[in-house]
Amino acid sequence: MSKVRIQPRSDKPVTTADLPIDNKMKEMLDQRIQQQEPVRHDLDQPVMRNLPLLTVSGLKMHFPVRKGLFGRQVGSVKAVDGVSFQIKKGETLGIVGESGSGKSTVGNCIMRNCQPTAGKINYNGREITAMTKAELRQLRQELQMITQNPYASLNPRMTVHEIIMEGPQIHHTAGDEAQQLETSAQMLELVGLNPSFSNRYPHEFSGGQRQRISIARALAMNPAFIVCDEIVSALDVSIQAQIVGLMMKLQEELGLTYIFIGHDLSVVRHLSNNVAVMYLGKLMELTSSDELYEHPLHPYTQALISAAPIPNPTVDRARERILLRGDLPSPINPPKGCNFCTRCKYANQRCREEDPPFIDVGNNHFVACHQVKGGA
Amino acid sequence: MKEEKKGVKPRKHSSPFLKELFTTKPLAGIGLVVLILMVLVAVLADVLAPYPMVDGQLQVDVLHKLAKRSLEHPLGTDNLGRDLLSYLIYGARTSVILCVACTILSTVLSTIIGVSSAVLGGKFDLLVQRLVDAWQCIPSMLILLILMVLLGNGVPQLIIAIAVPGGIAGSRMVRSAAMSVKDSGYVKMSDMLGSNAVWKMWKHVIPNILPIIIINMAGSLGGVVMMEASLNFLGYGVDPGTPSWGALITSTGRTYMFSYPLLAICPGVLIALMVFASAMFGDGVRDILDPRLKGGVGSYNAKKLRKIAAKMTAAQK
Repeated sequence: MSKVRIQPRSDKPVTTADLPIDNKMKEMLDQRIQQQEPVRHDLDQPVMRNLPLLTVSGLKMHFPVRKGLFGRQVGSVKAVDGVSFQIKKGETLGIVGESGSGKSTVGNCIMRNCQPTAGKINYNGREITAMTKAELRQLRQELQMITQNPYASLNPRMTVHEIIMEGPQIHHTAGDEAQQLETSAQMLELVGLNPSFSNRYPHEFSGGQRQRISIARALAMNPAFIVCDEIVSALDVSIQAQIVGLMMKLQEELGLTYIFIGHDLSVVRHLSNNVAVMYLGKLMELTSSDELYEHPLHPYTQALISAAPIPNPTVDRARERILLRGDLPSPINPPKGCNFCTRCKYANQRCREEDPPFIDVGNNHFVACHQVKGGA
Repeated sequence: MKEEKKGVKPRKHSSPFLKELFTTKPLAGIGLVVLILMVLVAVLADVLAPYPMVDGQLQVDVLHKLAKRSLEHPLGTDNLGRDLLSYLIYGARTSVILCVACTILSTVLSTIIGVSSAVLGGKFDLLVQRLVDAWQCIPSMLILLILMVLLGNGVPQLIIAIAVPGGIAGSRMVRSAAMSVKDSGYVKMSDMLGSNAVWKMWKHVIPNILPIIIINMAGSLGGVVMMEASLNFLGYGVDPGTPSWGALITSTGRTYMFSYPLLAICPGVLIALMVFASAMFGDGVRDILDPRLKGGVGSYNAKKLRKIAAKMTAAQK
């Protein structure tokens, strides 16, 4: 697997110009880009794979906090505070972070479920943040989302067939009844369910089956891009494995691009080409998944990885545990300087005063930490 | 098992739906029969009544007023000597038709107001809800009287005068139910599939608040009868002399309750029967329309599905 997956400035400043990087660093990066070999690919169509499908730059989502009789704004919850990344066609970006780190909000912003406060989201050359409602409706055919709770996301009064065909029906691409039956049967087959299930109701299925139905519903739109928001968190481990396997199979067969949001590090590693670590609305680290798990640079990533269980007791016992003390600071009033400084064991005066820039320390490994600026 | 498949698309298969109603919910079936009978009686009043109307009035026979039960008058007569059985049969015309029409109209109205207010939300919701608040501040009887004065006496006017305030008052309950459905995961997913407000209301919100709408509907039926009666009492109901069950209870029935109890009991039993029948019917419909309340596998298009599945397995080989 090629380690160089992300191209920080393939067309224009996504991870460099929008971020607080000093000129010296930019020069350094420019040199590196010139020297860099073309990205290697495992797929047959290198050109397709090379294109960034989704470019997020400087994304900010601040939810206003209102108080008092007249709804005076007294502050804002900085759910996402300046996030930038790129995803290439056919790849998966994993986003990990603890609860409240803003990872789901990133997904919701991409789907335009909420209007971002600032920043740009470019999908295939089109600007999502500036789309009108009609354009968004069209975009829904290409951009789909699967959410965490398979129990709440299926209408209990619709049959599986109706649920799967809802999208095509909305967009009048469903065809006549026979075609619809055929399509829904195909979708069920694709996600590994018996096509004869299509006349059943959601309550007749288990959580894993329901999640498959959700996936089938998203696939019926024939999307190019799917935001998977903690799709396996509500399922038990054996079912998780099935769903993850299914998602990977679908990616291979249909050439899908995913954003995989999750907090289970091993699942995210398994699925993702690149992994972004979020903390309190900011990206802490972003690199290829193998690089991240083998050489985590940010203290927060290190703590996260040390907290993930290893299914080998000998290794598990031998390794060092990094315990994070305290809670996530309030996103209404994040700490000055580095967001992580309140819980970081390496934090010094500089960390508490100066926001660390998000920089490439080599090997397309981006980190926001003063302590690792020297490079890996 | 055979009946259960029909519930999958009840709107498309009306007769299997009825079959299911009678087999799985016999009480609801009885309720439906009672309601249909009452409507039939109302429609065929001229044929059924032993003393049909002449020039739109029941014959007044003061000489035989407050007569006991006899072969001539099976239930006796009222204080003007009108045959009670004929009165009740003609009364069904006003009461049953009025009730059914009012209930349906007010339910439709409250569903439209409540659901659109909840789903569209924002300023529209705020505006509509404040209007409903304002409307509710005025005593309902006052509104009824004003409407009746504006519209004049008569059954269609009465239907509008009772249904509109009822619908507006009922919209709040519908709205609160719709709000909870609107925030559910599947409506958000529908949004992400690109649906518009009408789609969300029709496909998601209304089917899921149907139980509440139906219960609301069955409950308001009895209220309509009494509302009509009290308007009658105040002289703003149907034209004086037009028989109606509510009018019979509130005027003649109450006056002669102890001396001639049949005058109060008969319309009372009929009203109770109508309310009970509609409640049972509503309950049954609600249960049948809810897929969660029945087990088993449907077989909607099962044959076609089996064919497709067979084709697929063949193609794989």
